[in-house]
Amino acid sequence: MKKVLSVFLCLTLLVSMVPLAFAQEEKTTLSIMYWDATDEKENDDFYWWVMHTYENWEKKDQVALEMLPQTGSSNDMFTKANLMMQSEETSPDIYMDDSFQAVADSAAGYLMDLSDVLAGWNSWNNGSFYEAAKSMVIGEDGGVYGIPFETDARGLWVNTQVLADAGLGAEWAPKSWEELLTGLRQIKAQLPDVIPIWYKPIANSEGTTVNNLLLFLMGTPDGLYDWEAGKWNVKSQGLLDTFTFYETTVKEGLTGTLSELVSSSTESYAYQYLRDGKLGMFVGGSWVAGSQFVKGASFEWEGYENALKFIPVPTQFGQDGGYVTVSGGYALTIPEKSDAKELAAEFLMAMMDDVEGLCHRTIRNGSLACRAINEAPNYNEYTSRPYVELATSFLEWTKYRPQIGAYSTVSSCLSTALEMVVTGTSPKDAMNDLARDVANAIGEENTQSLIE
Amino acid sequence: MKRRINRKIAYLLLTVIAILWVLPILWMVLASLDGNANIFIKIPDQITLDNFFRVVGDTSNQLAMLNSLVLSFGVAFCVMFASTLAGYVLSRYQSRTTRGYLYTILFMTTLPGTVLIVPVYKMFVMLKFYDRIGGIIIFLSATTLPYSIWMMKNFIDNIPIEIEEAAAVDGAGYWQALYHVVAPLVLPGICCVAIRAFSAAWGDFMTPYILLSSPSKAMASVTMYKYFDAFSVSYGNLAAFSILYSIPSVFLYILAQKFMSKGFAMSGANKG
Amino acid sequence: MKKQPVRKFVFLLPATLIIAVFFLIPALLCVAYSFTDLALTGSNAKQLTFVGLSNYAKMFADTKVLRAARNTVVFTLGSIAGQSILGFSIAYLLREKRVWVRRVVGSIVMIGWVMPEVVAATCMNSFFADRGTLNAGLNLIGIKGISWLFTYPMLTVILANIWRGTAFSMMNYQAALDDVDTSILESAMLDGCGEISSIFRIILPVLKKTVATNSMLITLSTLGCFGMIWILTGGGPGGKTNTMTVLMYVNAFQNSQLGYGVAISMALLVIGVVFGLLYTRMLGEGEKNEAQD
Repeated sequence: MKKVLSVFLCLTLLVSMVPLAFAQEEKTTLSIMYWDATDEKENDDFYWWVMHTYENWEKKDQVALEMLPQTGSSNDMFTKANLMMQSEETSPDIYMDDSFQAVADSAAGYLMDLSDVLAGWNSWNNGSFYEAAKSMVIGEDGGVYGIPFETDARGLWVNTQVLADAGLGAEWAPKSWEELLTGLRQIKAQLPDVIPIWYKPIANSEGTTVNNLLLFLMGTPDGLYDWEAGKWNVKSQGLLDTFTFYETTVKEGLTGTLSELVSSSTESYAYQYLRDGKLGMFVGGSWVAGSQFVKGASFEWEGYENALKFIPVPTQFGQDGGYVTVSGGYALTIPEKSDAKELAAEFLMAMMDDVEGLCHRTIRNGSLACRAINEAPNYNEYTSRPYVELATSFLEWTKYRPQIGAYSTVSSCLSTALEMVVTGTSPKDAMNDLARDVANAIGEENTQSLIE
Repeated sequence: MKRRINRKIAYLLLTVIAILWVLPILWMVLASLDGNANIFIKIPDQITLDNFFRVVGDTSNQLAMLNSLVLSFGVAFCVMFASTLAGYVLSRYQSRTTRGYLYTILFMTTLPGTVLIVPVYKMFVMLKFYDRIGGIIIFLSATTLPYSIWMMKNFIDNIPIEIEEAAAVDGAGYWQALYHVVAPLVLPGICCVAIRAFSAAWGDFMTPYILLSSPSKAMASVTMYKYFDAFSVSYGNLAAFSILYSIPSVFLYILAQKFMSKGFAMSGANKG
Repeated sequence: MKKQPVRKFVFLLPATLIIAVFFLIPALLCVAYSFTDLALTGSNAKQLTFVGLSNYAKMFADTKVLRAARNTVVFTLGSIAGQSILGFSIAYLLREKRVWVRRVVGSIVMIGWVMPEVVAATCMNSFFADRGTLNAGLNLIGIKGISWLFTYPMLTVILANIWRGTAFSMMNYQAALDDVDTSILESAMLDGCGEISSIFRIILPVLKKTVATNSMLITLSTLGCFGMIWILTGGGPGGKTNTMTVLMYVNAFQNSQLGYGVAISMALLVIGVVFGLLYTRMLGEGEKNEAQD
């Protein structure tokens, strides 16, 4: 009896394994690696989006998904992703890459050129995507290395109460650096206890460059990169003027105490002061209000929607349309060493056409969508979020970081130079140091000087 | 009389030290009880245990803690075993060669782990060790061993060789001499080495971060980073997590204290 | 008891094997990488090119390197001095104290050490901030606070590292002091020797090897210290706390010049060896003295 039973058990086990084996053979696994810093699955908006697309996907039965959420600082994340993409055995099939990093990753040969795939995709060609966003992931060789899905804008977060108290009026909007400085000086004169402006001047920090320095540098007639010559402008009048602008804010006491300004928690100080009415304005990204001041956030601020305004940074003399903003964002890419590229591409397009999922992610993440999502059922929720329409309107002036592999190196040197300026080095010396450091790091032949 | 005064001074100094050491942690404790904590120290408007409930209730945290325990005990055990054996030999047979050996492995530890991880990653993929906790146990043991061997050698140096020789006369072999005579005497040292190895593995972020990919194998040091989002750090959760995260190592230390004082009594008896 | 080389070899085998495969080989690969333009991203990542000594040449041309080397040495020396002195003092004070005192004080000191580095650094950040716990405390006793991280950045990161690392020295000295015969000390004190002088005259000479070893271990781990500095100051302000590890990390992982970063870490290794040789000398003389005794 026992024997019969065991044979029977074995048989059932075998039989039950047959479909399992078949199923596994038929199903291709798509692994998706993405940046996630949410503590619980239900808050993971990217996961929600992927699952939303997957549940409605025609190939659902043939494909299994493997989600690989990643935490860690951005540098660590890039290191891990780059290592994984180097080998067929560990490469994910879909990777959410930071747009500026995607350019370097494409130069390294890690990413698949999607040009051919996108050529046959309606949404890409019918104007659904913002043209500027599309350019975000174009590699040095002209290939398209990812599908951008979310972007952002940067500008000045202004406490309207401070403006009103200083006599500038809540509608104050400077049209040049000179007007901006005049406003700051007036705040200082009228309200001695209020810090006029705050920005992040920390060395070796991409945030310093992209959330702050570039907003001013890109507003000068000299850009950061000369596309015709293929060289970085490491010395220019624009750079000098930019550094001088910062020097002025420090010298005239228009910004916070140096010890707080250059501390690693500089942004925390800014948020606190802004909320407490002790700060006039902060140079930062469009996500700031939604991540810092909302209910339950670290610097919860009731009624921030009415007290806080988001205004664009003017160009130096009000030239070129008058304003400038800098955008970054994320793109979905397919690693070159993925073993299911076609399927991955299909899924990516399905994800981007799932406007409801994309809209959900964008709302929760506090970013701006890279394509039209007005057909999404939750579109109203998207536009009703404070500052979203405003920030989207900034995109008409937007500049992206130069799509050149060496950008991260140059950026690091730029932020270091800014910290030097803020802590007392003269703009000219800082610029010379910058030129030397960049030349040392990426080769002198890749840099140029626009002034003597 | 003088002794008593000295004793009082000692207690006073210890109190001062304890206060100095506790103050920085104050922020963590207050933040963990605060619903809206941030980087600045402040008394919570309302004391709440929500942060703790949230952190403990998260199943991925529970799994991560478990994974970290497996990893850290694995490393501690490997290191304890291998370093006691090696330390014994290196202590009892000192020569130019053994000293060269010691310094070579020791100096290698100056290489920053962040740099080392790149070639290690490639090795792990080649050896099919990638995404395996076992592989990480071996790698972390390798990086912790040089220190540990060095420490063990020194602890064993302090044990007089005569004790062993007496055992050898009784017919005990090397293994027996080590296991029955030396190891019990050097127990405080073994504890010290084991705690260090445990804590090193427990706190290591880069290695498990780079060498593991399955979410089910994530370590606590890695999952902790989800409270450390670049845009908005949830300081309250982070603080609660950190407190829970520090408990195992502190607990081990308290446990080891027992052996340490026992070791004190025994070696005292032997020498006296 | 003197000659049985085979057994000796067997005991060394597990450790040697693990270290050789999982530490020595990657370390040697690192040495090789320092002669290449290795990068994790960007066009250099496409193929590995041998660049000879150019990374090292670049290093000597880089003014930041010399400054970083100096910062590293200052940071290391400060940390060793602080951690050794405090670690020994705590271990000594804890001797023969009530069990609960040993446990409570020992555990409190341990917390900084067993905490994950990011958390320890965050604690330190809020402690040393302009309006942090320390300045608040100083204000209470009538002293005006200072901007620790800005005015004295190096001192502050050293203090932070001492706070974090002292537990290790404390444990080492606790274990070593457990082996010191108390009767010598007692008789010395009966002879009228003060407690402080008996520490210097009796205990420290006995513990000479522990002191040297402990210093060596602290040195090696401090040279590689990164997270604490990176989080507290990021190498700033104005490069005042830019150590070799910070410089290495920025070059290797932020500026994606891994080859150059690895070369910098080789220089760090050289600093480590120099320190190590100093201790070896100290230990070697100690051993000679012992032999003469």
